[in-house]
Amino acid sequence: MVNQNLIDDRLYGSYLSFLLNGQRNECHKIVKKLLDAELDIKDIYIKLFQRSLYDVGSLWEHNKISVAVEHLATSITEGLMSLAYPVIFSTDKIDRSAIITCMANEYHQIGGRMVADIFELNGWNGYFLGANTPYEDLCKMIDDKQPHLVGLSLSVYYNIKNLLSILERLSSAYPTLKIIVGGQAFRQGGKESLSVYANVQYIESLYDLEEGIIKDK
Amino acid sequence: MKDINDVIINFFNDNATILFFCCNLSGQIKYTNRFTERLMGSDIIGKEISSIFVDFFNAFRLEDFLSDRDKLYLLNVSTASGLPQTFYFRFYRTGDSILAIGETDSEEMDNLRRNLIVLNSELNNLTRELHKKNAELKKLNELKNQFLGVAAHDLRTPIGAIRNFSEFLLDETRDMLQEEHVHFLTSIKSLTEFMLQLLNDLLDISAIEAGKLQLTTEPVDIVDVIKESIEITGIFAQKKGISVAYSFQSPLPFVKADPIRVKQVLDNLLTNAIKYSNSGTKVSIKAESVEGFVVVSVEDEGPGVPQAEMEKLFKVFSMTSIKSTAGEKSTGLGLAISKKIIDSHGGKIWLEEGRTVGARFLFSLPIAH
Ligand code: B12
Repeated sequence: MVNQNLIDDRLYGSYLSFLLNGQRNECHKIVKKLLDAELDIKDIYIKLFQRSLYDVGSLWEHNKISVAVEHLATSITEGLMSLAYPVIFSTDKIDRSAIITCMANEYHQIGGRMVADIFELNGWNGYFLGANTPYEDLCKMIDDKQPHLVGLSLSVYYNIKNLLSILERLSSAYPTLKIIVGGQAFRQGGKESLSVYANVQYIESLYDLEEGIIKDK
Repeated sequence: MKDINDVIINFFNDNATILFFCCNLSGQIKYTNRFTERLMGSDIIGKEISSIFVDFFNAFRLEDFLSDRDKLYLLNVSTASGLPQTFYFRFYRTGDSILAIGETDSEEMDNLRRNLIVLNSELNNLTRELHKKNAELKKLNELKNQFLGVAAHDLRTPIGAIRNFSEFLLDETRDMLQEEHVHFLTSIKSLTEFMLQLLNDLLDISAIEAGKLQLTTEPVDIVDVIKESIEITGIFAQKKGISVAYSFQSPLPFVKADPIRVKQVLDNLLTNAIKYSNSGTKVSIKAESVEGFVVVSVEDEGPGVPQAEMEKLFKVFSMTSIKSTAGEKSTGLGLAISKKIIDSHGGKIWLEEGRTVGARFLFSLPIAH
């Protein structure tokens, strides 16, 4: 049985300080150790990567660290995520697929990538189109892959307006397509605006995603 | 008033992130600010200003820069860290001094940062895609092996039956048959034998690729295995008028090996040697111990392997241009299987290069302790 408390405050503290100091190799070692212990990938994503990036965000917000430090921490985290790929992509596949993307002008892509990875971990094909993806590219991919579901990730609240217009276009072009939306843009509200679309659902976390959408099929 | 000026000048001198050089009219640096010293090293005073620029074509002439006060010149400077850096310079002449001031373009830096973030993200997305594709390919390959295994296994029984029945008919009814029919039956038998060999090889390959090759190693006297192999293959050699000779170093240490698998390798190498040899020639087998390994070689006097085809020799389904001497068939799998078997013993198999006649295959197996 895997010890779920492997990521305690002490381990987290040292990881965060390595991350802020740009000590990629030390962070690498910690993640490798957790992966070797077969910890749930979701826990590594949320209790280590997400928590530290949120902390980086608030340090940056309070002018405690520079943009350069924030950039480096983000880059290191993106690199570390690929350490989990041998686990993520080794699951047996079921006949389900999802396309996850960030819209045009949305440069935050880590959350979306995690979502795509969670689909993969559960046997779905989780395609990830990345940051700043034009609407036309998304449509091309939908036509090509015929996914069961499309997920949109949104981090900056001023992109909500854009999102609504994309949802408008998507649901008229693909009336039966199921769409899920998530990300920090909705931390200060805005979820209500989604309720006009019958096929669109807001999902708060990776756990909700797994329980409510993926396992439910 | 003077105090305020001093404060301002000192502040800029200590803190501004611009390059500042004050030179005499011949270009020798007399004075710099703090930032310049930090970036370029404290031994900067006294150097020629032209020496700090990265000047690939030796084209730097200080006078050229002094004609237009307001013009910005893009110049690269060598820094103490070894990484050159770009600054936009202005040059001024005042009395008996020349001033050079270099600044960075903050918009350019901004773009650079943004592009770097985007590139990094793209790289990571591509890495993800690569992993995904790779996993898919791995699954497909497994599927292929499974399919191959099942197909080969299921075909083996009926084809084995055809072979046995044709042999039976040949043995029991030969006297009653016309010559042409005997010929047909003989063909059926030899073709099904080849098919069985192919199926066995395919089963081996799929098992090996699925990581299911299990070796039961023990200390083995390689001489016994070689002799055992010659017992059968020697019959074919005799039929073709080829002699088989062997010589062993004595005493020869035991090797750590799976005798059944090693015999399979030897059978394959010997069969090949005989297949490509002409009547009246010789196939020689040698074994000797070399630095912790026993090396076995199988040498023939056939046409040899063209240099260009050597590399693909040990790959699956790699047929060479060489023709067998009596029309014997090849599955194209034997050497690939042999290589996998020897590799998993921790040994090596190779073909001697640079020969003008014949071919000499060698393999090594670790000595048992
Ligand atoms: C890294 C970062 C950046 C990087 C992003 C690089 C990259 N490769 O992703 C860069 C430098 C580009 C950046 C730029 C900006 N950023 Co920024 N950034 C961050 C930071 C520090 C981390 C983001 C992150 O990766 N978090 C970790 C991930 C895992 O968490 P997540 O995104 O919340 O995702 C989880 C859930 O939300 C959910 N989820 C996410 N998407 C989806 C989708 C679906 C379908 C589902 C089901 C679930 C789901 O699951 C994920 C896993 O649990 C955050 C701070 C923070 N609190 O997050 C600020 C933050 C997101 N940024 C912010 C801002 C304001 C900006 C800028 C506008 C700054 C500026 N003025 O230039 C620009 C905007 C650029 C743009 N147009 O997109 C604000 C956003 C505020 C808001 N809500 O509007 C934040 C919160 C910082 C802050 N405290 O103010 N940023």
